[in-house]
Amino acid sequence: MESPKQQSSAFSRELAANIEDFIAKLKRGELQGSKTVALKTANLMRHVVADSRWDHAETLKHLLKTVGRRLLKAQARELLIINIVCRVLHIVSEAAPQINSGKAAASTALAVDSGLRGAETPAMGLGSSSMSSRNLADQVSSSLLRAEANLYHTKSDIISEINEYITEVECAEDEIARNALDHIHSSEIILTCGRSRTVEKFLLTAARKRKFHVIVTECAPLYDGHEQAKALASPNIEVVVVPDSAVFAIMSRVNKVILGTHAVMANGGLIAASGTHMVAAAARHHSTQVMVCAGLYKHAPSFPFDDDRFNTLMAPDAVLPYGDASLVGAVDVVSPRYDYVPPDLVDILVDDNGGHLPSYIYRLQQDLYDNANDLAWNIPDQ
Amino acid sequence: MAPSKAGSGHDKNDHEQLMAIVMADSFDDLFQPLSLNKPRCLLPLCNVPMIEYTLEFLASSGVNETLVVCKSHAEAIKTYIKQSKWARTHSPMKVKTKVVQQSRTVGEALREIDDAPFRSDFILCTGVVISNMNLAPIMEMHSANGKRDKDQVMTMILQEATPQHRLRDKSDESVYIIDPSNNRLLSVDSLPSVPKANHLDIPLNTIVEAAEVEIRADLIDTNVYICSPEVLELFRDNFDYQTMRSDFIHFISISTLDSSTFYAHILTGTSGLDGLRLDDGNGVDARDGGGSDFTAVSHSGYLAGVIDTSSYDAISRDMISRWTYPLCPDSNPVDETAYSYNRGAVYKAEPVFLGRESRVEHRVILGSNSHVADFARVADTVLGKNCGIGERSLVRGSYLFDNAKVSRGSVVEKSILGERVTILDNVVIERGCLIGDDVVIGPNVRIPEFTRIGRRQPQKEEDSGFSDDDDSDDGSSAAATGRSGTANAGGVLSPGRAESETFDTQALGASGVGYVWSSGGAGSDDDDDFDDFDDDKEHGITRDWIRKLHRIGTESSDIAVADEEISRERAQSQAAELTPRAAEHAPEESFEHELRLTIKRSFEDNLDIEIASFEINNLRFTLNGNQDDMRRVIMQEILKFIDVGELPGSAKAAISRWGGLVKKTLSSNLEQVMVVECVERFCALDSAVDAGARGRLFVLALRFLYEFDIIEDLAIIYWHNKASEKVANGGEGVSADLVQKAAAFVEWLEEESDDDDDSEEDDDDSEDDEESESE
Repeated sequence: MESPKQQSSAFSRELAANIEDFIAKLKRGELQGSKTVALKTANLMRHVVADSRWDHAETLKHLLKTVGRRLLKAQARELLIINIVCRVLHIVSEAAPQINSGKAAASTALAVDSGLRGAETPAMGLGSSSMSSRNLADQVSSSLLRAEANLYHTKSDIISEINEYITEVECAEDEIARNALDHIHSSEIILTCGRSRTVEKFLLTAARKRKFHVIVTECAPLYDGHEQAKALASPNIEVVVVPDSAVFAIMSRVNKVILGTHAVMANGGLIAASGTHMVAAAARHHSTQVMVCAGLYKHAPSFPFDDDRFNTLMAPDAVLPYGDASLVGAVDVVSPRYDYVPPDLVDILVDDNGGHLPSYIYRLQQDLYDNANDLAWNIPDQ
Repeated sequence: MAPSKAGSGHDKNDHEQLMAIVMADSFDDLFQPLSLNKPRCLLPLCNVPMIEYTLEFLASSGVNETLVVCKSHAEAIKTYIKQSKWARTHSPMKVKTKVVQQSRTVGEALREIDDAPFRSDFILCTGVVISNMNLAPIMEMHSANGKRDKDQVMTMILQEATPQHRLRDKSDESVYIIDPSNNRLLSVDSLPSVPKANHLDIPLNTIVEAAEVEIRADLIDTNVYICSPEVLELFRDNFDYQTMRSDFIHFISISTLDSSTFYAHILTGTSGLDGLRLDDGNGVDARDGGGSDFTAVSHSGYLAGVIDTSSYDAISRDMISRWTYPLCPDSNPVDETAYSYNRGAVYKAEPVFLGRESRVEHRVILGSNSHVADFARVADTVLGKNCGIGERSLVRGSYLFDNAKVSRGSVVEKSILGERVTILDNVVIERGCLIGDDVVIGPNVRIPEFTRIGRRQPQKEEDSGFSDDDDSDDGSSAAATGRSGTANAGGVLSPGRAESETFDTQALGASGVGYVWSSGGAGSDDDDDFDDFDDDKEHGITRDWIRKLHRIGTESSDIAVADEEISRERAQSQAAELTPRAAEHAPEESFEHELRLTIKRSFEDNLDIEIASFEINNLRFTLNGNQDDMRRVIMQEILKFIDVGELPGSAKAAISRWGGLVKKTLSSNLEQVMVVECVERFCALDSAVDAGARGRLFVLALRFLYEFDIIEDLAIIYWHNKASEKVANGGEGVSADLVQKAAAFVEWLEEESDDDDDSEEDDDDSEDDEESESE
């Protein structure tokens, strides 16, 4: 459609700086954690919508996709960016009928308008040349004002939609936690894995009314299970931290496994902190129910055909001291951040609206994203 | 960048800018000839100009302004920075350049810097630094220390690593003396690894005040220093400080006049188990900044400086193995690159062309448009843009810069190939070679290890002052024309230039373009600067080895080889100066020579065995001699002491008197066998013994050694069996005659060990045998 040069000129200087700052942070790994990434991306998207020049839903979508691609190039493995960009695109699509509402004249007027303004959108300029110049002045004068006004409203509509979405992301944990009492009963023994704020809130909400035990796995090599245990400690919860190796042994006593996740794939599988797969598999062996708490923003509109692609390998220094010459030269250490948990190990996914079966996720995502467009786009292999 | 504000931690002025100085020039020539056309800091490391990592590291540590100090190719660096993202208006960090054309060392360059802007603590990187750390917590610690200790001038950041770590500078064994209670760095000693230093001087005044002292040799200098403003002043006041560690820190710390103090921050290189370390309480780790927030994945961090091609290699591997996470090739620090991670640590840009039968093994980076043909193998290697590996070629542990090509059937091992280098068919490049831009090699040649090849002749070599990345103007213009010449001819020597230049076609093959640079190889010790033969030959070799140990492809075992070669050289030169007798034994080591003198003196002075043995052992320890050599020499000297004319009495006297010396060196049966071997060799070969007496001397020596309980019968019997076998197999290394002569004695010994009662009788028999043999 348009060359990148023109695209970048569509961004104001402030926006360009904002995008670059965001990319730099992604590259440096300063943005960690699904919620942080989701919120930052959504904010950036809002900035793009608010602060760039566009006069058509398609143009706006194209701008958003350009920014999205740049973010992906910086951090191709971060699923949350794809989710948010796709979600914002969906919001724009839903608003699109309004932009293109009224008559075809509005859009033609826009085309003419841009054509007259010169080289800004050459493709559209081309369209105008094929148009007969009859009644041109009439059409322009009659519909331009209307279109402008329309556009202005649409823009603020889209922004308020995005704002709503941001609030939704911010409050996802509380919304999920409202379901806690339906799932957690008194004096149950619940096992959870590593650090997850969603799970923390879920359990603490339940603990207001009920008393139960929680077993937390350490989740090596990050050992963030310790933090989780600290956060969970409250009068109604008795917390036990166990090493990862003890999960299988202890599973027979567990009533329910509640997990957090980094992202949920379209098939209902999870991209979750490494160590989660083992817990889920042990639970399956003991026929223990596995429940996953994940906000809607964690739903990734893609299928995990190659789970390597969604994983991140971290520095081996968590496993091996760098100073040890005999090992560092001789051993290849792979320290993945995430596990892929196949959907058949997950029994129920809990989000803002209640529980779903993993097999239902693809349907849920059809409401969240316009799949037809986005799936083709979000595979970043060029 | 928010934490940076807190990080700089200056109570006097919160608007204070955090500054950094980067020494973009290395003031040495360890990257030559790769750095002929480009400054070292713009050479690619994992296909990204190295300085980019440093600037990125400083920016993420919250530095507001960086001063890049450059000397050679200053224009290239300036242009690069002008075009980089750091020059954009919204860049979080300003980058300025400072050209120091006259400086020849780090010290001189620092003296040139205007210290006006450096009113608070700043970061100094003496070289290109690769890191994923945030220095803010360390800065904070530095300023906290500064409040406690007004004399603090610097915090040195050190990485802990066991010996033989790949990141270690193999030519240097620095020893750090640290007070563990407050991490104060009391003293630093740079010891060369060749020739091996065997003692360390610790001035008493450096350690007397500390309650406890750690002397550590397991630390690597990361080339990053957090400095107080006084550092620049100190450099300006002392014109003889040339290097950071061995001059500046060393001299100030041992000085009794200057009370400036240094601190060390030690990176342990682990993250997960930090809490379990038995560290002192105030060893604040970088991860502490993370707090309880899940978002900060804690890691104590990676920090290393590229000082030579060896560390270049180590850091590249670390980056490929993701020790520098998140600063990995697939995080694409520069916008142009787009690498994706694949299993086995293979990073691919788009597009790459891999033959159906090609083998891309582990830890490889493939730049865009790189080709690997069928049956070619690539492992542990970085390929730049547009690189090509031809059929059946093998490239291992090497770095190919952009547009380098390796043709069919060639082997490249642990070497660095500059831009547009072309390796033609069937060329073998052994480890440690550096091949400069635009060189063509081949076909059908073998480039020996540690060779350097440049497109043009090396300029006036090796004066301490000149810089690696030296670019005299005529030189670079020559390179420019050279480049265009080869480019036109497509890698083949163009006829126009053939008249003016004759290349080393003998070494580089028929189509070779370029020159072999001397003084990289082992045999090139002929340098003009050194006219004295012996001493400076040794110097030359030492220097060559030090350069070699800085080179990619060196292993820690090379240090031992170097040490041996140098000490041999030294022994030779010493032998030449000493007595003619010593000169005869030229290849002897100095220890052996000294030992012989000592033993002779003992014989002459008729010393007590205990005293003589004590002296000999002392000598062994001071000269770091080998027990086996010592035993051999003692035995030989005893045998020499025997007057062959007066056998058997003289033999009996000598062995009974001095045999004890040998006995004291024996601890195992095998060593006894070695004594027998030694006696045999002496009797068979020593020129002082005339031919007739050899057998007799040998048998007598064996007999008396046995009689005076110096060696056991079993050792002799064992030796004889082995020797007979050897004789049967062609007699390599043993005299058949002597073995046969000893046969009777051995036979007797065997009987003796079977039947102890008959000892007297047999003894007589054997004596008779000997008598008859001698006649």
